[in-house]
Amino acid sequence: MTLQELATALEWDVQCVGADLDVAVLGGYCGDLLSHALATAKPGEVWITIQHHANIVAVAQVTGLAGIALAGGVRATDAVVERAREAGVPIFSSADSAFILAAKIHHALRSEAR
Amino acid sequence: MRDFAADLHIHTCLSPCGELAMSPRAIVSAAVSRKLDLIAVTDHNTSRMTEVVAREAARCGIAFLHGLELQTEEDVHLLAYFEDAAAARGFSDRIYDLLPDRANVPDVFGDQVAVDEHETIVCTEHRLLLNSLRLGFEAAVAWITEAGGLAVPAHVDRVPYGLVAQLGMVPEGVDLPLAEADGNALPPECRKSALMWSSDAHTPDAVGRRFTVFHIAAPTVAELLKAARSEHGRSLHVVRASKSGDAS
Repeated sequence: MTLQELATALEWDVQCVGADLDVAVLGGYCGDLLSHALATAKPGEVWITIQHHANIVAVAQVTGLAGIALAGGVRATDAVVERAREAGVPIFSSADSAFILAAKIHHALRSEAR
Repeated sequence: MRDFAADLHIHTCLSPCGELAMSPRAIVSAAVSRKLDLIAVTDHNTSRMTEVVAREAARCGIAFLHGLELQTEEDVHLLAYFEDAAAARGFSDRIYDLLPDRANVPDVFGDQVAVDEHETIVCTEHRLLLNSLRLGFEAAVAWITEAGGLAVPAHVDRVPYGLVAQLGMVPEGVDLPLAEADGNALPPECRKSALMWSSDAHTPDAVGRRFTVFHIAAPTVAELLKAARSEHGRSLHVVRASKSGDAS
Protein backbone atom coordinates (compact mmCIF):
# COMPACT_ATOMS: atom_id res chain seq x y z
CA MET A 1 0.00 0.00 0.00
CA THR A 2 1.35 3.40 -0.90
CA LEU A 3 1.31 6.43 1.32
CA GLN A 4 -1.17 8.09 -1.07
CA GLU A 5 -3.56 5.12 -0.83
CA LEU A 6 -3.28 5.08 2.95
CA ALA A 7 -3.83 8.83 3.22
CA THR A 8 -6.91 8.61 1.01
CA ALA A 9 -8.34 5.58 2.79
CA LEU A 10 -7.94 7.16 6.21
CA GLU A 11 -8.99 10.65 5.08
CA TRP A 12 -5.86 12.37 6.28
CA ASP A 13 -5.32 16.04 5.72
CA VAL A 14 -2.15 16.28 3.62
CA GLN A 15 -0.27 19.17 5.18
CA CYS A 16 2.86 18.96 3.08
CA VAL A 17 2.05 18.71 -0.60
CA GLY A 18 4.74 18.12 -3.19
CA ALA A 19 6.40 15.29 -1.28
CA ASP A 20 6.45 11.86 -2.86
CA LEU A 21 3.35 10.00 -1.72
CA ASP A 22 3.87 7.13 -4.13
CA VAL A 23 6.07 5.20 -1.73
CA ALA A 24 5.25 1.85 -0.15
CA VAL A 25 4.29 1.91 3.51
CA LEU A 26 6.05 -0.95 5.25
CA GLY A 27 4.78 -0.46 8.78
CA GLY A 28 4.32 2.05 11.55
CA TYR A 29 6.25 3.61 14.41
CA CYS A 30 4.61 5.31 17.40
CA GLY A 31 6.30 7.65 19.85
CA ASP A 32 7.04 11.24 20.77
CA LEU A 33 10.60 10.99 22.06
CA LEU A 34 12.68 12.08 19.10
CA SER A 35 15.83 10.33 20.32
CA HIS A 36 13.91 7.04 20.46
CA ALA A 37 12.51 7.61 16.98
CA LEU A 38 16.03 8.31 15.72
CA ALA A 39 17.25 5.09 17.24
CA THR A 40 14.45 2.72 16.31
CA ALA A 41 12.17 3.99 13.52
CA LYS A 42 12.72 2.04 10.30
CA PRO A 43 12.71 3.13 6.66
CA GLY A 44 9.29 2.98 5.06
CA GLU A 45 7.35 3.24 8.30
CA VAL A 46 4.71 5.86 9.00
CA TRP A 47 5.46 7.80 12.16
CA ILE A 48 2.48 8.40 14.40
CA THR A 49 3.19 11.22 16.84
CA ILE A 50 1.80 14.30 18.52
CA GLN A 51 5.25 15.90 18.48
CA HIS A 52 5.14 18.79 16.03
CA HIS A 53 8.51 20.41 16.70
CA ALA A 54 10.53 21.18 13.55
CA ASN A 55 13.05 18.47 14.48
CA ILE A 56 10.52 15.78 13.44
CA VAL A 57 11.40 16.59 9.84
CA ALA A 58 15.10 15.93 10.37
CA VAL A 59 14.34 12.73 12.27
CA ALA A 60 12.07 11.46 9.48
CA GLN A 61 14.67 12.37 6.89
CA VAL A 62 17.56 10.67 8.69
CA THR A 63 15.63 7.47 9.43
CA GLY A 64 13.98 7.22 6.01
CA LEU A 65 10.45 7.19 7.39
CA ALA A 66 7.75 7.19 4.70
CA GLY A 67 5.95 10.08 6.35
CA ILE A 68 4.70 11.67 9.54
CA ALA A 69 1.10 11.28 10.68
CA LEU A 70 0.27 13.85 13.35
CA ALA A 71 -2.42 12.48 15.64
CA GLY A 72 -5.10 13.99 17.81
CA GLY A 73 -5.80 16.94 15.54
CA VAL A 74 -2.26 18.28 15.98
CA ARG A 75 -1.15 20.31 13.00
CA ALA A 76 2.33 21.32 11.88
CA THR A 77 3.01 25.05 11.74
CA ASP A 78 3.72 26.72 8.38
CA ALA A 79 7.42 26.87 9.26
CA VAL A 80 7.54 23.12 9.89
CA VAL A 81 5.57 22.39 6.71
CA GLU A 82 8.01 24.55 4.75
CA ARG A 83 10.96 22.65 6.18
CA ALA A 84 9.23 19.35 5.38
CA ARG A 85 8.61 20.48 1.82
CA GLU A 86 12.30 21.30 1.38
CA ALA A 87 13.27 17.93 2.84
CA GLY A 88 10.62 16.02 0.85
CA VAL A 89 9.02 14.62 3.98
CA PRO A 90 5.23 14.15 3.78
CA ILE A 91 3.25 15.34 6.79
CA PHE A 92 -0.37 14.49 7.46
CA SER A 93 -2.76 15.54 10.15
CA SER A 94 -5.48 13.33 11.53
CA ALA A 95 -8.25 14.05 14.01
CA ASP A 96 -7.90 10.49 15.32
CA SER A 97 -5.99 9.85 18.53
CA ALA A 98 -2.63 8.11 18.21
CA PHE A 99 -4.26 4.93 19.52
CA ILE A 100 -7.03 4.91 16.90
CA LEU A 101 -4.67 6.01 14.16
CA ALA A 102 -2.26 3.15 14.88
CA ALA A 103 -5.14 0.68 14.85
CA LYS A 104 -6.43 2.00 11.52
CA ILE A 105 -3.00 1.90 9.87
CA HIS A 106 -2.34 -1.58 11.18
CA HIS A 107 -5.74 -2.75 9.92
CA ALA A 108 -5.22 -1.20 6.48
CA LEU A 109 -1.78 -2.75 6.04
CA ARG A 110 -2.96 -6.15 7.26
CA SER A 111 -6.04 -6.18 5.05
CA GLU A 112 -3.86 -5.51 2.04
CA ALA A 113 -1.42 -8.26 2.97
CA ARG A 114 -4.20 -10.88 3.05
CA MET B 1 38.17 38.25 38.68
CA ARG B 2 37.65 35.35 41.06
CA ASP B 3 36.24 31.85 41.29
CA PHE B 4 32.57 31.37 42.14
CA ALA B 5 31.66 27.82 43.17
CA ALA B 6 28.11 27.77 41.83
CA ASP B 7 25.18 25.39 42.22
CA LEU B 8 22.59 26.78 39.84
CA HIS B 9 19.91 24.10 39.99
CA ILE B 10 18.20 23.77 43.36
CA HIS B 11 14.52 23.10 44.07
CA THR B 12 12.67 24.56 47.03
CA CYS B 13 9.67 23.14 48.87
CA LEU B 14 7.46 24.85 46.29
CA SER B 15 8.39 22.28 43.65
CA PRO B 16 6.16 19.23 44.12
CA CYS B 17 9.26 17.02 44.01
CA GLY B 18 11.19 19.23 46.45
CA GLU B 19 11.16 18.13 50.09
CA LEU B 20 9.30 20.27 52.59
CA ALA B 21 12.70 20.63 54.28
CA MET B 22 13.91 22.73 51.31
CA SER B 23 13.27 26.05 53.03
CA PRO B 24 15.28 29.22 52.31
CA ARG B 25 17.19 28.76 55.56
CA ALA B 26 17.98 25.08 54.90
CA ILE B 27 19.10 25.70 51.34
CA VAL B 28 21.38 28.61 52.24
CA SER B 29 22.76 26.82 55.26
CA ALA B 30 23.62 23.81 53.07
CA ALA B 31 25.24 26.15 50.53
CA VAL B 32 27.35 27.74 53.29
CA SER B 33 28.51 24.37 54.60
CA ARG B 34 29.39 23.27 51.07
CA LYS B 35 31.41 26.49 50.62
CA LEU B 36 29.39 27.59 47.61
CA ASP B 37 29.74 31.22 46.49
CA LEU B 38 26.76 31.42 44.17
CA ILE B 39 23.42 29.62 44.07
CA ALA B 40 20.17 29.80 42.13
CA VAL B 41 16.87 28.23 43.08
CA THR B 42 15.00 26.85 40.12
CA ASP B 43 11.49 25.64 40.85
CA HIS B 44 9.37 24.12 38.13
CA ASN B 45 7.77 26.86 36.03
CA THR B 46 7.83 29.49 38.79
CA SER B 47 10.21 31.95 40.43
CA ARG B 48 7.92 32.59 43.36
CA MET B 49 10.39 31.41 46.03
CA THR B 50 13.50 33.14 44.71
CA GLU B 51 13.16 36.48 46.51
CA VAL B 52 12.97 35.03 50.00
CA VAL B 53 15.93 32.72 49.30
CA ALA B 54 17.84 35.69 47.83
CA ARG B 55 17.42 37.63 51.08
CA GLU B 56 18.64 34.67 53.12
CA ALA B 57 21.61 34.21 50.74
CA ALA B 58 22.52 37.90 51.00
CA ARG B 59 22.44 37.67 54.79
CA CYS B 60 24.99 34.85 54.60
CA GLY B 61 27.20 36.43 51.95
CA ILE B 62 26.25 34.10 49.11
CA ALA B 63 25.60 35.48 45.65
CA PHE B 64 22.27 34.60 44.10
CA LEU B 65 20.53 34.36 40.75
CA HIS B 66 16.76 34.15 40.37
CA GLY B 67 15.97 30.99 38.46
CA LEU B 68 13.18 28.81 37.09
CA GLU B 69 13.13 25.39 35.48
CA LEU B 70 10.72 25.57 32.59
CA GLN B 71 9.10 22.53 31.03
CA THR B 72 8.44 23.33 27.41
CA GLU B 73 5.70 22.02 25.18
CA GLU B 74 8.02 19.22 24.05
CA ASP B 75 8.71 18.19 27.70
CA VAL B 76 12.21 19.68 27.58
CA HIS B 77 13.49 21.03 30.91
CA LEU B 78 15.07 24.44 30.46
CA LEU B 79 16.72 26.53 33.17
CA ALA B 80 16.36 30.31 33.12
CA TYR B 81 18.44 32.76 35.16
CA PHE B 82 17.84 36.40 35.96
CA GLU B 83 19.87 38.87 38.02
CA ASP B 84 16.90 41.05 38.62
CA ALA B 85 14.09 39.88 40.91
CA ALA B 86 11.49 41.94 39.04
CA ALA B 87 12.53 40.50 35.68
CA ALA B 88 12.23 36.98 37.06
CA ARG B 89 8.85 37.77 38.61
CA GLY B 90 7.55 39.28 35.37
CA PHE B 91 8.75 36.28 33.41
CA SER B 92 7.25 33.86 35.93
CA ASP B 93 3.87 35.65 35.78
CA ARG B 94 3.95 35.55 31.99
CA ILE B 95 4.48 31.80 31.75
CA TYR B 96 2.03 30.94 34.54
CA ASP B 97 -0.82 31.57 32.11
CA LEU B 98 0.70 28.97 29.78
CA LEU B 99 0.59 26.26 32.42
CA PRO B 100 -2.34 23.86 32.02
CA ASP B 101 -5.06 24.44 34.58
CA ARG B 102 -4.64 21.01 36.14
CA ALA B 103 -4.78 20.75 39.91
CA ASN B 104 -1.88 19.32 41.87
CA VAL B 105 -2.60 16.03 43.65
CA PRO B 106 -0.23 16.27 46.64
CA ASP B 107 -0.46 12.55 47.43
CA VAL B 108 0.82 11.77 43.95
CA PHE B 109 3.12 14.66 43.03
CA GLY B 110 3.99 16.16 46.43
CA ASP B 111 3.11 19.38 48.23
CA GLN B 112 3.59 22.76 46.56
CA VAL B 113 4.01 25.23 49.39
CA ALA B 114 5.75 28.58 49.59
CA VAL B 115 7.36 29.42 52.91
CA ASP B 116 8.87 32.57 54.41
CA GLU B 117 12.26 33.08 56.04
CA HIS B 118 10.91 31.60 59.30
CA GLU B 119 9.81 28.41 57.50
CA THR B 120 6.16 29.32 57.96
CA ILE B 121 3.93 28.23 55.09
CA VAL B 122 2.57 31.36 53.44
CA CYS B 123 0.59 29.78 50.61
CA THR B 124 -0.13 26.62 48.68
CA GLU B 125 0.05 26.52 44.90
CA HIS B 126 -2.94 24.52 43.69
CA ARG B 127 -2.06 24.35 40.01
CA LEU B 128 0.34 21.51 39.19
CA LEU B 129 3.72 23.15 38.51
CA LEU B 130 5.42 20.05 37.12
CA ASN B 131 3.65 20.20 33.79
CA SER B 132 4.37 21.35 30.24
CA LEU B 133 3.87 24.97 29.29
CA ARG B 134 2.07 25.74 26.08
CA LEU B 135 5.34 27.18 24.82
CA GLY B 136 7.78 25.58 22.41
CA PHE B 137 11.50 25.23 23.14
CA GLU B 138 12.75 27.91 20.74
CA ALA B 139 10.11 30.39 21.89
CA ALA B 140 11.02 29.70 25.51
CA VAL B 141 14.71 30.38 24.81
CA ALA B 142 13.77 33.59 22.98
CA TRP B 143 11.47 34.79 25.78
CA ILE B 144 14.16 34.20 28.41
CA THR B 145 16.76 36.07 26.37
CA GLU B 146 14.41 38.96 25.61
CA ALA B 147 13.69 39.30 29.33
CA GLY B 148 17.42 39.69 30.00
CA GLY B 149 17.91 36.15 31.23
CA LEU B 150 20.16 33.23 30.38
CA ALA B 151 18.66 30.00 29.02
CA VAL B 152 20.46 26.77 29.91
CA PRO B 153 18.99 23.39 28.94
CA ALA B 154 18.81 21.18 32.05
CA HIS B 155 20.27 17.66 32.29
CA VAL B 156 20.49 17.43 28.49
CA ASP B 157 21.47 13.76 28.69
CA ARG B 158 18.58 12.63 30.90
CA VAL B 159 15.73 10.44 29.61
CA PRO B 160 13.10 11.73 29.63
CA TYR B 161 12.98 15.55 29.96
CA GLY B 162 16.48 16.18 28.61
CA LEU B 163 16.88 18.15 25.38
CA VAL B 164 18.50 15.30 23.44
CA ALA B 165 15.91 12.69 24.46
CA GLN B 166 12.94 14.93 23.72
CA LEU B 167 14.13 16.63 20.54
CA GLY B 168 16.82 14.27 19.25
CA MET B 169 19.17 17.17 18.53
CA VAL B 170 19.60 20.87 19.24
CA PRO B 171 17.07 22.70 17.06
CA GLU B 172 18.59 24.59 14.15
CA GLY B 173 19.46 28.20 14.83
CA VAL B 174 19.31 27.99 18.63
CA ASP B 175 22.40 29.26 20.45
CA LEU B 176 22.98 27.53 23.79
CA PRO B 177 26.34 28.66 25.20
CA LEU B 178 25.87 26.66 28.40
CA ALA B 179 24.23 23.27 28.95
CA GLU B 180 23.80 21.21 32.11
CA ALA B 181 24.48 17.47 32.00
CA ASP B 182 24.29 14.58 34.47
CA GLY B 183 27.17 12.76 32.81
CA ASN B 184 30.87 13.54 32.73
CA ALA B 185 30.65 15.17 29.32
CA LEU B 186 28.02 16.74 27.11
CA PRO B 187 26.49 14.42 24.51
CA PRO B 188 27.81 14.98 20.96
CA GLU B 189 24.57 16.77 20.01
CA CYS B 190 25.49 19.56 22.46
CA ARG B 191 29.16 19.86 21.63
CA LYS B 192 28.82 23.57 20.87
CA SER B 193 27.85 24.30 24.49
CA ALA B 194 30.02 24.51 27.59
CA LEU B 195 29.33 21.90 30.26
CA MET B 196 27.68 22.94 33.52
CA TRP B 197 27.14 20.70 36.54
CA SER B 198 24.69 21.37 39.33
CA SER B 199 23.02 19.36 42.04
CA ASP B 200 19.35 19.43 40.94
CA ALA B 201 18.88 19.16 44.71
CA HIS B 202 15.48 18.24 46.10
CA THR B 203 16.84 17.65 49.62
CA PRO B 204 19.21 19.80 51.72
CA ASP B 205 21.97 17.17 51.79
CA ALA B 206 22.10 17.14 47.99
CA VAL B 207 22.86 20.86 47.64
CA GLY B 208 26.32 21.32 46.10
CA ARG B 209 26.95 17.62 45.48
CA ARG B 210 27.98 18.66 41.95
CA PHE B 211 28.68 22.22 40.96
CA THR B 212 30.48 24.45 38.52
CA VAL B 213 33.28 26.87 39.27
CA PHE B 214 32.96 30.04 37.22
CA HIS B 215 36.04 32.25 36.93
CA ILE B 216 34.26 35.56 36.44
CA ALA B 217 34.32 39.21 37.50
CA ALA B 218 30.84 39.19 39.06
CA PRO B 219 27.94 36.77 39.49
CA THR B 220 25.90 38.11 36.59
CA VAL B 221 24.17 36.64 33.55
CA ALA B 222 26.60 38.49 31.26
CA GLU B 223 29.61 37.08 33.09
CA LEU B 224 28.26 33.51 33.00
CA LEU B 225 27.85 33.93 29.25
CA LYS B 226 31.44 35.11 28.90
CA ALA B 227 32.67 32.15 30.94
CA ALA B 228 30.67 29.76 28.76
CA ARG B 229 32.29 31.29 25.69
CA SER B 230 35.78 31.50 27.30
CA GLU B 231 35.86 35.23 26.58
CA HIS B 232 38.14 37.84 28.17
CA GLY B 233 39.87 35.42 30.51
CA ARG B 234 36.61 34.03 31.91
CA SER B 235 36.35 30.26 32.24
CA LEU B 236 34.52 27.47 34.01
CA HIS B 237 35.04 23.91 35.14
CA VAL B 238 32.83 21.29 36.76
CA VAL B 239 33.40 19.76 40.18
CA ARG B 240 32.00 16.76 42.03
CA ALA B 241 31.99 17.17 45.81
CA SER B 242 33.65 14.41 47.79
CA LYS B 243 31.69 12.59 50.49
CA SER B 244 33.00 14.87 53.20
CA GLY B 245 31.45 17.76 51.37
CA ASP B 246 34.73 19.33 50.31
CA ALA B 247 35.35 20.03 46.67
CA SER B 248 37.51 17.46 44.96
